[in-house]
Order: sequence, then structure tokens, then C-alpha cells
Amino acid sequence: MTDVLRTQEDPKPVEPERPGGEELPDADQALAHESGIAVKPRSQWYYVRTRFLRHRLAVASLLVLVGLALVAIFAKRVAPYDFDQLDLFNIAQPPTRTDTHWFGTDLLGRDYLSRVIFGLRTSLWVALLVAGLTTAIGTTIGSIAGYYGGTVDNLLMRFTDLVLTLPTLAVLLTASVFVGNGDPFRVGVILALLFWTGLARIVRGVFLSLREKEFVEAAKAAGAGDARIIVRHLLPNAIGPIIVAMTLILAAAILVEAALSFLGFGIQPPNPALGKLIADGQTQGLDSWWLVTFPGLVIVVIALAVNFVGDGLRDALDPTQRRIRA
Amino acid sequence: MPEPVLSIRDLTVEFSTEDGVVSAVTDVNYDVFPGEILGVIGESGAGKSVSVMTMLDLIPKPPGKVLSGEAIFKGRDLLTMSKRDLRDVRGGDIAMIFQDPMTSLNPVLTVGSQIAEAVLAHNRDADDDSARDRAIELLRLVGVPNPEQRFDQYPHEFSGGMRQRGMIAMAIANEPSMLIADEPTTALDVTIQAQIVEVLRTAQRETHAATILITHDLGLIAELADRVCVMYAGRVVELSDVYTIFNSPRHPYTVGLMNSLPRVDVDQEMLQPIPGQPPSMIAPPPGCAFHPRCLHSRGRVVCRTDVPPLRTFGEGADHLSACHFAEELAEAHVVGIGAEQPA
Repeated sequence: MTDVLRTQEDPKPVEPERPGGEELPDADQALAHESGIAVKPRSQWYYVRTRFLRHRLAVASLLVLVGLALVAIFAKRVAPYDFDQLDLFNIAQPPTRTDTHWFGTDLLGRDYLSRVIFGLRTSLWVALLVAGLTTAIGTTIGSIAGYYGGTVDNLLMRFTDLVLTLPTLAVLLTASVFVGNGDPFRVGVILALLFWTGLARIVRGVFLSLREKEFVEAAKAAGAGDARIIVRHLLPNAIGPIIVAMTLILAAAILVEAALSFLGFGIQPPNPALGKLIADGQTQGLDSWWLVTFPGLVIVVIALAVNFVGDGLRDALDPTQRRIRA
Repeated sequence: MPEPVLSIRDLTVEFSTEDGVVSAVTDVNYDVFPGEILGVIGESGAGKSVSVMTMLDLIPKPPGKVLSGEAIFKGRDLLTMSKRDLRDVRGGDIAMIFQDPMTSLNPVLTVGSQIAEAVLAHNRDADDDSARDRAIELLRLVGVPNPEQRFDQYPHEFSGGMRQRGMIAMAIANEPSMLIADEPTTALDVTIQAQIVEVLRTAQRETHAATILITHDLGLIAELADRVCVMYAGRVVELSDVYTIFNSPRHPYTVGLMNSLPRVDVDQEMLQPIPGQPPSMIAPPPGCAFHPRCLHSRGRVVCRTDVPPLRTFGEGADHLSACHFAEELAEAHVVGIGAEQPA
């Protein structure tokens, strides 16, 4: 009887379960230290890297982004033609291998691959500018409001509300016409001045909870001033949400800039921008499908990739995050 | 008697809450002398922490408000000091050890860098390398094994006891003349507590710092303290050296505390708790705040009408009690309340 039972039950060898999966739990490491067994000390960045590399989608997206960025940076060398070089013998060609017009040509016979590459360059540059400026403004305002609280918080947040209540599209269009001048830098600044509100709110929220932590009190008791506490103790703890918000803004900036340019209010010719390319392409109708499809695809790919990278970074940067991604 | 390092005089602190004004600390007076350990003991909410946190401006204002008093540290009043000067004092001349080492270290910075930061913050001439060396030396002093490796580890890689050692290392980094240990062992388990007590003792010996030890653990007081300050409902009710407090307490609350302790030298069936609850700090009882729970008052009117001052009562200038009938307790303690106790 007992034999039968034994064969029915799966005789699993009892394995000690490790909470950290494949990773050696930190308690073990600490014990190893205490017992004098030499263990290679691993830095926090080691863990961040490891966790990020486990996030395959994020790694793939990062590779795509790096590739696109390289193409954008070296546009002049990579692009087979200049973006405004006319080839009047090949007007409105669909994608073809001849003369490396891989993305075809537009109505003026300009190589579309080259135009997309230079458009990518402009769009990426604007997006990075917007993300950087937004993060700088939003983090500064949010962290000051969240750390000091009270009247300071009230003033800054009401100002934030004010910016939020502006009708974005109307302000964007107006500002673009009067200030933007179709210049990528100016358009980027205009976008950043409207986009920082979300980030400021996120950072403020994080700081409001962080400032109550005991380590802040401990830092104060150790003689740290406000600036030191904000920059050295609180910001690193808020880096996760900030980076995630930043990637979202990066993606949004690309889309909004494309939309603006599509409407004709953003970046103006001769600067090629992805949105402008789509706008010009859609007037040609469905016959020249490639004029809309390729820049559109590039926009979608960038936005997706940026979001995935943001996801991966969030998981990797959060020091309490011990979950291992497939 | 030498000059005190710190004199707290008539300190009164209030907190405004939704339900009313809480008198957290009322007319608190005590001195801390060089090299001694002053144990501050009392129930939760008795004002133990508030009295020291106020002095370092670590209570949130508002809702906190200092109504009166001064805290003379080395001849300067900490309560009126400029923010900048106070910042130099914090972590430099006066250092704190916090209750919960799990949350008092910044999780995203290595333990070593946080100690080194404490060194750098108060030494203009220290550079990163010397701060690192000093931090490693401190970690070794507080008994962290392999300090070189441990320096580069994060708080989550430390156990609770090790973190508390790290906190102590940080506190003594600048050889403060005063250490404030706010319930340093409360968050630790018992075996670790004993080790931390040893570390505290080492730290205190190394720095010769006058120490304020805030706790509700009578055992820790007996182990470490030279003098004891008993607080109840925001007031100091008894102040004396540790032997006197344990052997001949002269305030009914202290007597109650002693009686509520299990004793190994007396055969007891039951522990004797202090009856009742700590008073509401929004509307404390009139007169002596302890009178509703007091076994000694026996309904005497003066207990309900007059706040007893902290005073001497003919047993030497070092023993202060805030009881109208402190003299009676000399007998009451032996005969009455703690009947089983040997005389």
C-alpha cells in the first residue's frame, strides 16, 4: 500500500527555494562576507545592467533606438543623397533598388530614403531637446514644491495648474506661428514649456512621500542642508519615475512635433521633419503610398521603442524591484 | 560638579492638531554632563523624543511650536541659533542615532558613501579618499566585518544589526561632544540588541560624548545609563542617578514602572501593571497628570489641583521628584506599593 502511494506521488527532491530566482540573494552575500569567504562585491549598476539586460524587449528596443540615432547623427554619410537633391528623371518612383531609391522618390524626384533620414534627424533632435528641457523644468519645480510643501508648494502647483489649463493646441499653434518660425530649436522650446507640468506633478508626488522618510530626518540630523538633501538624497530615489516620465515625454514629443509639422505649424521646409513628410505625402493620395508609410512607420517604431526602453529602465532602476522579467 | 554640556531649561513644545493643541513637552528641565549617559525613559508620547528633536529643530513646524525655553549647548542656545550654525552643530557636535536602521539609511546610496558624506560635510579639508579611509575605520570600530567590501554595499545588503552599526558609525564620524540615541535598540531583535548595546558603549568610550539615551526599555537604562530622567505626560517627573532610581524611586510613576518589571529576585505570580491609560495630551488631567492612575495619591485634593514642581526633598540635591508626597514614598515604596520587595 505504501509502495503504491509512493509511486503515485511524484518524489520531488526537496530543493531549498531561493527568493531571488537565479540571482544569489543578498542575504547570502552578506553572510559570505561575514564568514570571510571572498565574494566579489557587485555594484548597484551591475544589478541595474543585469536587470535591464533580462528585459529582452527593452534591449531590442534600445538597439533599434541606438541604430536610428546613429543613422540620424551620421545622416550626411548614411543618406545616399542630400535631402533636397533633385532627380528629375525619377519622379514619384515607388520603392525600387535602382539608384538606391529604396523608399522611392517624391514628386520632385528627391530620394525619399534620404528625406526620411534627415527628417528623423530633425525629429529626434527636437524630441531629445523637449525631453531634456521638460525634465529639467519639471524636476526643478516638482522637487522644490514637494520638498518644501506649504506655501511654496501651493504657489508652484497653482502655476502648474495654470499651464495645464492652457488649451494646448491653440497655444501651440499660436506660439508656433509667432515665435516658432519653423525653427526646430524654437519649436522644441515651445513644446517643453508646455509639457513639463506632468513631470512636475509626478516629481512633487514622489518628493512629498520621500521627504517624510526617516533617512531624510537622519540626513538633516547629520547636518545636511536642503540642497544636499534634495539633490543627493531625494533625486536618486526619484530617478525611476523621472526616467519613465521622461521616456513617455520623449515619445509624446515625437508624436506632437509630427502632428504640428503635419498641420504645417511645426518645422518648416527646407528642414525635413517626419510629420511634414507625411503631410506632404498625404496630398498625393493613395497612389504614392510610400510617401506616407515610411515616415509614419519610423515614427511608430521610435515611439514604441522609447516606451519599451522606459519600461525596462523602470524595472532595472528600482532597487526594491526584485522581480525577474522573462 | 562640572559644567553641563547641555542644559534644557523650561522647554515647552506644542503641536496643533485637528482635535486641539497637544502639549507634547511642558516645562522640561534637565542637564547633560560631559561623558555621562543620561537615560530618558517614559511611555510612548511622554515627550522623550520631542524634547531632543526640538533642540535640533527636527520637529515639523507647523504643527510643532516652541512656546518657551532654551537649550544651552556649550554656552549657545540651540533654539535661537541660525539655521546655518545649527546645521554645523547637527552631525558635527551633536549626532543622532535613530530608532529604525531599516529606514534611516538612504536605500539608493551605499552605506559607506553615507558615512563618508557625514565626514565630508563637517570637514572642509577632507577629500574623498581620506573620507573613505575614515569611514572604513569607523565601520571597523563598530564591528562591521570586512569593512572594505561593506563600504560599497547598499543598505539592503546589510542586516538590521549591521545597519544600526552603520548608523552608529555615521553618528560618531565627527567625534561629537554629544550623542543622542533615540530608541537605538527598539527595532532590533533581542540577540542583536545586546550586541548593539556593546557597540554603543564602545562608541561612547571612543568619543567620550555625553549621551542622551531615549528608550522605554528599563533594562537598557540599567545597563548603560549613569543618570535617569523619567518623563510622564510631557513633564520630567523624576531625575536621579541610575542606582537611586532603581533602588529608591520617589515618584509613584517610577515606582509603578519598577513594579511592572518582572523580577528574578522575588517570587511573583503576576506582574503589577500601572492601572489606567496614559492621559490625553490634548486635555491632560488637572494638577498632577499622573493622579488618576496614582496608587499613592489616594484621592488627596492637592494632587488634582496643583501641578507638583520638580524639586529636591531632603535626600540630597541630586534626586529630584515631581510628587507632592515624595517624602512619604520613602516608606510607601518599601511597605505599601511594592510589598514583596526587600527593604
